[in-house]
Amino acid sequence: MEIETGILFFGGAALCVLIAVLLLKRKRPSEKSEQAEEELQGDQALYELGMNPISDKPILYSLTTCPHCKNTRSFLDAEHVPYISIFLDEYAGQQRTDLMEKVRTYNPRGSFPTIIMPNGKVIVGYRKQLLQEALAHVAGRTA
Amino acid sequence: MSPEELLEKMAKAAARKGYFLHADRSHCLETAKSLLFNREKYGYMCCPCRLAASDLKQDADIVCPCRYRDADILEHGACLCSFFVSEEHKDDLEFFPVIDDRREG
Repeated sequence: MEIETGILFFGGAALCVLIAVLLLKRKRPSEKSEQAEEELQGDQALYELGMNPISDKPILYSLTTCPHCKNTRSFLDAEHVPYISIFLDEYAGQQRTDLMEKVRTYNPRGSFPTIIMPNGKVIVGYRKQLLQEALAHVAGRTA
Repeated sequence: MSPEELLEKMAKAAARKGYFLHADRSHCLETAKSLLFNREKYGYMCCPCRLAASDLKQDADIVCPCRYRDADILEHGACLCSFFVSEEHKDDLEFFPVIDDRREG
């Protein structure tokens, strides 16, 4: 009887410890987000450019995860057009907010990609034809 | 969970609503990888086409499948990411409509 009680006691204690460890190991979303924020540190020079987007190259406000941004980059690569990508999801805190506010000044919906062409024209989304027209216009002006 | 497993799960859930995953398998796989990346980074599967606020409460409407999916599919035939599409476009490999994000800032 004493042996059975002992087994039950230690078995119960071991189960409690296991549950406690599992609960501690499991992170809540907010904890993960805080951790992610701490780890983020985007390029400072690109942040400055993003806040004052003047360049002789197209500037892409984009996300590392966005398929339309990726398609736009692939298109520009295929056309051998040099461009600058600013990935907003690589920034955290105030810089992330600042860049998003800047994007909204050009594109109130704040969607991606938002592209600022060298002539100031703004293109939103992966729009191949608009990009081709804008690039031809810029090339014609600089020829 | 692997991207392939996520796609299978998403496809089954979408089918219950009469939707399909995009015909371009590589596009879907990339989207699935991005969703898993966001889950690891933020703790939830934020839409990869939108900037996460890193806060589940603020981003509740853009956790995939997002709250705007139905309206976007009804109007454009696809969701913002062209991840989910309507039956009409289920076999169209080139179907990537440009959709204005209907989410209010």
